Amino acid sequence: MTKNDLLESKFFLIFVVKIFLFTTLILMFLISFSEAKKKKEKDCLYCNEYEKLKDWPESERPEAFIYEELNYPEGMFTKKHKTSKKRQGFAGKKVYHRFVKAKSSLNKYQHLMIRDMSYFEALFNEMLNDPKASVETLEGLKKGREAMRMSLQISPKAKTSEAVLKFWATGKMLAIAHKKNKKKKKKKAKIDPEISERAAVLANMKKQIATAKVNAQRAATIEAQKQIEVTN
Amino acid sequence: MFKKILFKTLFLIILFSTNLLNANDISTMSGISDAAGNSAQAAADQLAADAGKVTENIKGAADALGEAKSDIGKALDTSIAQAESAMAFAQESLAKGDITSAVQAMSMVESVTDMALGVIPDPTALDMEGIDFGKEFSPDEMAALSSIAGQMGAGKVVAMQKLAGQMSAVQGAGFDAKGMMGALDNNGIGIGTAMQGLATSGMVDMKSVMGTEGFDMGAFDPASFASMNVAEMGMSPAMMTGALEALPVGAATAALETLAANPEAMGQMGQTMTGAIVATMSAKGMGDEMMKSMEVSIGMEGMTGMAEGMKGIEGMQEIGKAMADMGMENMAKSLSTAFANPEVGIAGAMSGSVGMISQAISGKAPKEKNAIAQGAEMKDSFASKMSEAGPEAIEMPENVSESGMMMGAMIMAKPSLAGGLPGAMAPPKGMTAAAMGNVLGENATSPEDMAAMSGMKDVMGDTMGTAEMGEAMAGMTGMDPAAMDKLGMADMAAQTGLTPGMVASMGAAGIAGMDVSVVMSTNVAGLGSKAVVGIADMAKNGNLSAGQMGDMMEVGLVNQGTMAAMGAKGMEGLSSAMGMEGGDMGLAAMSGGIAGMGNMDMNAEINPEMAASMGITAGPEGAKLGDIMGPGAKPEGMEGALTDMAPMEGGMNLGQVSAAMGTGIDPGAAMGSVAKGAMAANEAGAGLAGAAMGAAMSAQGAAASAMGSHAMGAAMGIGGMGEGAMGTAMEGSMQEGMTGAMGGAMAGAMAGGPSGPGMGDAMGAMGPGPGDPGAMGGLGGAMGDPGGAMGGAMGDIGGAVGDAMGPGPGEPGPGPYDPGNPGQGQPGPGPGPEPQ
Repeated sequence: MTKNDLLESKFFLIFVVKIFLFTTLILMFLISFSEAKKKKEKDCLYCNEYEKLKDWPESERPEAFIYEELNYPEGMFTKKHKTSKKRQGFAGKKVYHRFVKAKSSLNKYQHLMIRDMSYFEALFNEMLNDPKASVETLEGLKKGREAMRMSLQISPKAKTSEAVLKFWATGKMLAIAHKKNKKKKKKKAKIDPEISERAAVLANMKKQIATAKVNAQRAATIEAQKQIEVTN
Repeated sequence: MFKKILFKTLFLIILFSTNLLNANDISTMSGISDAAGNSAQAAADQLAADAGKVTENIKGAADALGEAKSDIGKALDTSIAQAESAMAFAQESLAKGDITSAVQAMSMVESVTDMALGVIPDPTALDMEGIDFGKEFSPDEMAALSSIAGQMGAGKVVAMQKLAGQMSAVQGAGFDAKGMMGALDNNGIGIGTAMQGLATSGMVDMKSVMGTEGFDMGAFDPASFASMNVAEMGMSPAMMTGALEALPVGAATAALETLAANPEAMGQMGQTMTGAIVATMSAKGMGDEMMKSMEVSIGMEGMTGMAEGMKGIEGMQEIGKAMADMGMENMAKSLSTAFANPEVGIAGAMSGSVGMISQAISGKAPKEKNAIAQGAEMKDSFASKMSEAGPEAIEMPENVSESGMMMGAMIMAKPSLAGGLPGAMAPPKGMTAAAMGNVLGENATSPEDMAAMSGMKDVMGDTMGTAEMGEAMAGMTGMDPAAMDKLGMADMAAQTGLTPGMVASMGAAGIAGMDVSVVMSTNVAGLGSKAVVGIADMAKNGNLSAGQMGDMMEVGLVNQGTMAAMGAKGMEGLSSAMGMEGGDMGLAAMSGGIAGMGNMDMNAEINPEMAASMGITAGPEGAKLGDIMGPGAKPEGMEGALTDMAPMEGGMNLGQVSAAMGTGIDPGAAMGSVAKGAMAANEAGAGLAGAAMGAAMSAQGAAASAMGSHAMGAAMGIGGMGEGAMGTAMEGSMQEGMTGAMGGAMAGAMAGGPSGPGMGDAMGAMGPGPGDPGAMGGLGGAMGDPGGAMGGAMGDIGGAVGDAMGPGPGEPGPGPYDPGNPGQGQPGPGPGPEPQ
C-alpha cells in the first residue's frame, strides 16, 4: 500500500466519521424535536385547536371554560379591584406568592393555603373573561384547580362561586383556629409515650387482622384451584 | 319401631336447633360439593391459625403495656381488652365451622380500632376548637361550612353503619356486642359516644335512630340503624346537602323517596330541603328527562323545577336563610361539634386531604409525626416486635386461575357481607344489615335461609338461578360446564345472591386486601331506591333514551348492580349508544361489564344525544372516542392519528367509566384512564382477572370519594398476588387504578385515615407516580393525578400570572410580591413570623 493510498483511506475514514456524527446529530435533533412535540401534545386538548380564548367560541366550550360573573366574598377584593383585569392581577399575585414563592411553608400555613385557593379559583375565572388568555395555560390551570378542590372534596363540576365561598369560609375558619390554638399546638406535638405506644399496638393489630382476612380468602382460592385441577 | 322414630325425630330436632344457633359454613359448603367444603375448610384453618397469632399478640401487648395512667391510655387499654375477647369469640366460632361470625367479629375489632385511634390527639391534624361560629361567620359562610362538614362527615356515618351491621351479625351469633360497646362507651370511645357526637353535629337525629332523645345501648337496634338512608336517620338539611354531594346519586333518590312518604320529617325546612336534594342530583349531571322519569317512583311531582335557585351558591344562600330563620345558635353549635369533636371524624378527614395537597405542592412532608408513628419508633416498644409474631401474607401461587379466584370469593362472600352494606349508600334491600339478620345465628328462620343470602334477588327476580349463574360463569372463565357442575360452582354462586361479575370483583378485591364490603357497596349503590330500579327497568325494556343513558353514565349510575338489572337489552342499548360493536350483552350484564363488552373503535361515533348529556363537547365530525380522550388522556401506545389506532379489543367497561364520572371526573379523563387499565391488563395476558381488578379498583375509587378513609382496607397494597399471569395482571390493574383518574380520591382517603402501617404500605406499594410530578411528588405513586396536575398547574402559574399582569406569555410572572397587602384590610406581616 503506497503513502497516497494510506492518505486516501485516512481521509475516507474521517469522511465516514463526519457523516456518521452529522447523521447522529440530526437524528438526535429530530428525536428530541418529536419528543418535545409529543410532550406538548400530551399536556392539553383544546389548545391544539385554539391558541387564545378569543379564538374559541363560547358555544363550543365545556361549562368549566365559561366565565361566571359572581360576587366574591366580602374582604376578598377591595374597591380598587373593580374590573375583571384588576381582579385577575390581584388574584394572580396572591396565587403566585402562596403557591410558587412561599410554597415551602404550605404545611405550616395550611389555613393560608386554603384561603388562597379561593384566589386560584378567582384567577382562573377572571382569565376566562380575558380574550387574550392562552388556552393552553387555562387547561393547565384547570387541572391544578381540580387538584386543589380535592383538598375540600369540592366537585370538579361545581361552579366557581361555590368553590370560592367554600375555600374562603374554610380558610377563615382555619385561620381563626390557628390563631387560637397556636400555643396549644406546641404542647400537643409531644404525645404521652404510653398513648403513642398503645396507638402503635392497635394500628399493628388492625393490620394483622386485615392480613388474616386476606389470607383466609387466599387460602380458599388456593384450595379451590387444587380442587379444580383434580376435577379437570 | 317407635323407638326408631323417636330417635330419628330427636336427632333431627337436635341437628336443626344446632343449625339455628350456629351457622356452620363448612358443612353448608360441603352440602354443595366436596370441593366447596374443602375450600371452606382451608379458609377456616388459615383464619384459625392467623387469629391465634393475633390473639397471642394482643395478650402479649396487654401484659407488656401494663396499666395506663391517662384517660386516653385507659380507653385504649379497654379497646385492647375488648379486642381480645372478640378475637376469642372468633376462635370459638371457627372451631364450630362458623367462618361468618369469626370474620364479622374480626371486622368489628378493626372498626373499633379505628374509633379508638380517632380520639388520640394528632399533632398533624387541624385543630378547630374554640371557634364561635355564630359570631364569626355569615349565614352563607355557615351554610358553606355545613356543606363541607356534611361531605367530610358522610364517611363517618357510613363507618358507623358498618360497625352497627357487624354488631348485629355477631350479636345474632351469640357475642355480647352491646356489652363490648358499653364498656368502650364508658371510656368515651364506643358507638354510643360516636352517635352522640354525630347527633350534636346534625349528621344523625337521635330520635330518628333510637325513637328517644338520648342514646340507650339496650334499646339500640344496630341492624335498623345500619340499614337507614340519610333521610331515615334524620340528617340535618344543611349537612345532608354536603353528604349527598359525596354519596352516590342513588342515596339522594332514596332520601327523596323517604321524604315524599313522610313530608313532615324535615319540618319547616321541607321545601328548601327537597330543592337542595334535587339540586345535588342536578349538580352530578342528572338532566330534566331522567328526573321526570323518576317522579312517579319517588312520589314527587315537578322535580325539575325544584332545583331552580338551589344550585351551587344560590342553594347555600337559601339554606343559610332557612337556618337563620330557625335560629343560628343551633347551627353554630352543630358546626362547633362537627369540626372540633374528634369522634365526628370531620377534622381528621379534612386534615388528611388538606395535608395531602399541602405536601403535594410544597414537596415536603410535615415535621410532626402522629401517635402511631411516634409509638412505632419507640425503642424496645412492644409494637415494634408485634409484626414478627403476627400473620404473614400468603403468597399466591402462579397456577391460580380466574375460576379459582371466583370460587374462593364465593366461599368468603357470606362471611364478608353478613354485616350488610351501609344503608346510606342505598344498596338493594336484600343486602342491608336488616335483611342479613335472617341468615345469621338465632335470627335465621331456616337452614336454607342461613345458607343463602338474598342479595340482588329482590332486584333481579328469577333471573339469577343456578342455570343462569352457571352459564354466565362459563362464559366468563371458559370453564367446562360439566366440571363447574361437579365443583358446585353454580350452586355456590346462586347462594351468594350476587352476579358472577360481583363475585369476580369480590375475588380480586379480597385477594388484594381491599375491604370487600366497601367495594360491594359502590357496586350496587342506588338499587335500594325505587327510582333507580325504575330507570334500570326502563333500560331493560328498551325504553331508555340515549340522553338518559348519558345521564346514567355521568351521574355514576352505571354500576355492576344496575348493569345486571338492565339485562341484555339494556346493555345493548347502552353499548351501541357508546359506539361499541358486537359482544355478548347477556354476559356483559351478568359480568357487570367485565366480559362480553364487544369492541370499541376509536373512530366510532358516540350517539350525539348521549354525548351531549354526558357533558361531551362534540367536534364537527361528531363525538369520537379518540377525540374525547384527546392527546392528554389517551393511553400510551395510542398516540398518532386516529386512523392509525386499532379497535380496543375487549371493549371498555362502562361501569368503570361511570364510576369515575360519578365523582365529577371529566369523561375524557375517565375513558382514557379505563382504557389504559384495560390495555395494561390485556398486555399481561390475564383478561378476566385484570378486568375484575379494574372493576374493583373503580369501585374502590368511588367509595373513597364517598367515604374517605373509611373506604380503605388496612391490608390494601399487601402484595403477594403471585408471579403468574393472573397475579401480574391484577398487580398491573391495581397500579393503573391507583395512578389513574381516581388515584387522587384514593390518595386523599388514605391520607385522611389514622395512617397505620397498612396505609403506609399501600401508598408505598403503588410505585412511582406517572409523568414528572416535579416538586409535587412527595407522596409517591398514590398521589397520581393530583401530583401531576399540581405540577403542571404550578408550571403554568408563572405564565398565567404573567398574562394577568401585563407581560407577554412566557415571562416568569409578577414582580416582587407586596407582602403588606393593605388594601384587603388585613394586617401586614407584622412582627410575627407568619405570612398573610
